[in-house]
Amino acid sequence: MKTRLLILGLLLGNYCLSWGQTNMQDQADAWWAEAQKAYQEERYADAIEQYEKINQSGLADEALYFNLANAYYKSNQVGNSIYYYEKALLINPKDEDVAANLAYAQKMTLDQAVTPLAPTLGTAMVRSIVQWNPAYLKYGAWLGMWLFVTFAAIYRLGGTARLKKWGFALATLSAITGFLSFSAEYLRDHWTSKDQPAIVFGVVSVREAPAVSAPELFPLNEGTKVQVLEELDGWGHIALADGTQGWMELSGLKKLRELPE
Amino acid sequence: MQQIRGVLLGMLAMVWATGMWAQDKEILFEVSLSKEKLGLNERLRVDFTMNRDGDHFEAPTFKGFKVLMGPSQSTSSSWINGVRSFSRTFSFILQPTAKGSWTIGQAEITIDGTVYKTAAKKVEVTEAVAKPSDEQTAQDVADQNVRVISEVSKTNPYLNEGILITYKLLVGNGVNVTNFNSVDAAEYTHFWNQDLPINAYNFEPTTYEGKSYQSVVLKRVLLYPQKTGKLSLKPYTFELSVDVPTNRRDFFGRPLYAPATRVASTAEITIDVKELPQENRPASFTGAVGSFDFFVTPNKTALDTGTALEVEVRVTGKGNLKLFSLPELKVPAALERYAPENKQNINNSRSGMEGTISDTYTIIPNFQGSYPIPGLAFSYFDPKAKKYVTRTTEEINIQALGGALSGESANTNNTQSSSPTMRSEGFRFIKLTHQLAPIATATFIEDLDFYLIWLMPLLLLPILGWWIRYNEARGNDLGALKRKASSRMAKKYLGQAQKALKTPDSFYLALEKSMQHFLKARLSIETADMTHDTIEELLMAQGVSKEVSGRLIELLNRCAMARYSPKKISDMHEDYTAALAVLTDLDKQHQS
Repeated sequence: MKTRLLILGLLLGNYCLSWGQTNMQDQADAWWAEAQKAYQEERYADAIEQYEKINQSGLADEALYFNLANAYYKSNQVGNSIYYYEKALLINPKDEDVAANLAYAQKMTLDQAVTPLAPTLGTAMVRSIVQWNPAYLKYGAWLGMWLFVTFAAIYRLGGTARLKKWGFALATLSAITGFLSFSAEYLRDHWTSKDQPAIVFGVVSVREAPAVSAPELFPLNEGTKVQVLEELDGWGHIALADGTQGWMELSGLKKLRELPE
Repeated sequence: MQQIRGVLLGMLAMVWATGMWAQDKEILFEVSLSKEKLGLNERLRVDFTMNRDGDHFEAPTFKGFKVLMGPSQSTSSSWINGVRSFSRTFSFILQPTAKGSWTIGQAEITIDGTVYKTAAKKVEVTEAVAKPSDEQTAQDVADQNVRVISEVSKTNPYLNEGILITYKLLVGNGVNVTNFNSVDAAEYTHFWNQDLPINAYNFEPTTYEGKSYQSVVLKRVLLYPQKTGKLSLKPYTFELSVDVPTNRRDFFGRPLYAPATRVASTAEITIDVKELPQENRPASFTGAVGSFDFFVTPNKTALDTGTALEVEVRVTGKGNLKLFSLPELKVPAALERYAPENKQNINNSRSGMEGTISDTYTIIPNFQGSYPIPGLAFSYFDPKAKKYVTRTTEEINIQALGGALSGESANTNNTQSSSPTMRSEGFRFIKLTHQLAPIATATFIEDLDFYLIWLMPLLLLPILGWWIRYNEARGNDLGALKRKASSRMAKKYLGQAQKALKTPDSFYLALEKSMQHFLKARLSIETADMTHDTIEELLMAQGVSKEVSGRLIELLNRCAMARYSPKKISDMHEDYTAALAVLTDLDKQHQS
């Protein structure tokens, strides 16, 4: 009885949530239409405004980031443009449109493109782990656990030997699936917290140490992509694609995994 | 005759009259001394002058002096425009014999019977002087009357603030300067310097230290201090050729000049250079001091890829133009930027350097696209306002059009690459469809809801176990259920058997099935396991007597036999009652 109530409650909650979402979706659709129109009519500032509204509402997808980046590119805002192209690539690293337009935006940056280090087996693995979708992993974990219990019950109550055999095998498989999904998410979370790509905004100085008085190693211009390795009192230990490292103030960059305020 | 006489008389009268007029002029007899104060080793010249001829000149006694020369007489007489002027001078050169205050007494002369006397004059004789002034050589005069001085427009400028140093020649009355050379040019250590050429040497009267001179500017130098603190400017030394007038005169009465050479130096000057203020110093400050304007101008903003445009970074104004660097133009990396061409158009004037410096960059876009060239900032220190000024320029947006060449020009050094010509990849249009969804939150690892749903089924497992055990405890467990079902089946088949008493085949089949189900229920065994031995064993284990189990086995055997060898109906009745009895007995014995 209790379980039934709980399930009912969950369903109801889910329903309310989805109702709220539909409302939001409708609003977002309206903004989207407006933004698309503005972009087509080359009113890029208006387009940015509408796309940003959707972004601020917490809804997003690759297309939104791509279109927003395009609008920023057309308004010559190189930093924001690259930022949103890269965000779109985080969702779908294989999108050709994004890659093509990102190349355009990168031509606007003042820094010479650096030759990135060849990815090692480890970094390639980490890169693919980071790409896993947490939603799928979550449903995988849940489904695995529920199936495990179901098959365990079948095994226990199974009338025939065959039923018991299958119940046992499937219960084991489900349990493994559930735990693998969970640990995969653990891994993903761990590596995602380590993978902190960010885009430089404005002109910043990369220094030897996290202090204003530390000698400057090199300047970075808007639009450069860096990896934040560590953070200390508003300073970030950053690495460029070619492996060059240094410290810069975190106020001069925007992390790609950051959610809109 | 009468007439002639009258004319002659008239003329005489005129001569007389003029003579009388001349005679009427006041008679002067005066003394003049070359100086009233002199050193013991100097000489004194005393002149007694009269303007009418006289007789019986009597010189005074020069007490305290020895007459070196004199009296020497000089007379001059002239008629100018019918006016006669006359002068006779008696001169004495005296040598003092002792220090003290002496009086030159009265001299006497008799003119037209009247005795005239000069006034007595006092002369003071002091210690011997180092150099008797009356023995001054041309050199001495030159040294006294020719000087060079330097003037600085500002003695406490800021670092890099321009100052002007002017070297002037001062010439005293009567001395002529014929030529000058700089012997020892000043070294302007820690200064950037620029000589300003002098086109014409114009003399101007000035007063310096209470004496009047004619001054002329010899040299002007612009200086920009490059170091802070007290800097000294070393003296500048000139060699001057001068002509000094002497007391002698030439035939025409003009003074004769003696040549001399004068080596004169300026005084050493200390300049106190102030540091530029540290506070509010803009990041874009590169050392410009003065007052400037700043421009960044492209010659075009829209062009085809592969063609060039020029961007000029220009600073115009007044200040240390040659002494700072222009801000560097930063362009997107995709634009090809060549080293700038530097141009300077600077005039040096007394107020400092003035003009324009510019860097012209040639830029070639190789790919089509839009390239913003960020605005530049140029800062300078304004020494008049004593503050920093920053001038910024707007961002310039370069549109590179015509993608036909894009990509290719970047690969020109590749020798006709075998791969097909790279088509220009245009800027992709926005995506038309969307799948907006809430942004996935970071992770569910720390999400309580996740764990609730994830681990709930595990909680269900013990609940299930407990439920099973609960039912078992009530004797209503799963086995009991099965047995219940089996005994129900047993009764059902028994009923069927009763109904089929007339037909032996179905009767025995029903009877057998009934007994099998009964055993299934009683012994919890499957039909497949039902051999007579196991049945007997199990029944024994349950405490069923051998006699009853024997009867059961016999009955089962009879059922099996009856299916293959049909019997009489009376037998069937017998068997039915026997079966009922056995089953009842089994039930009874099991219960106990």
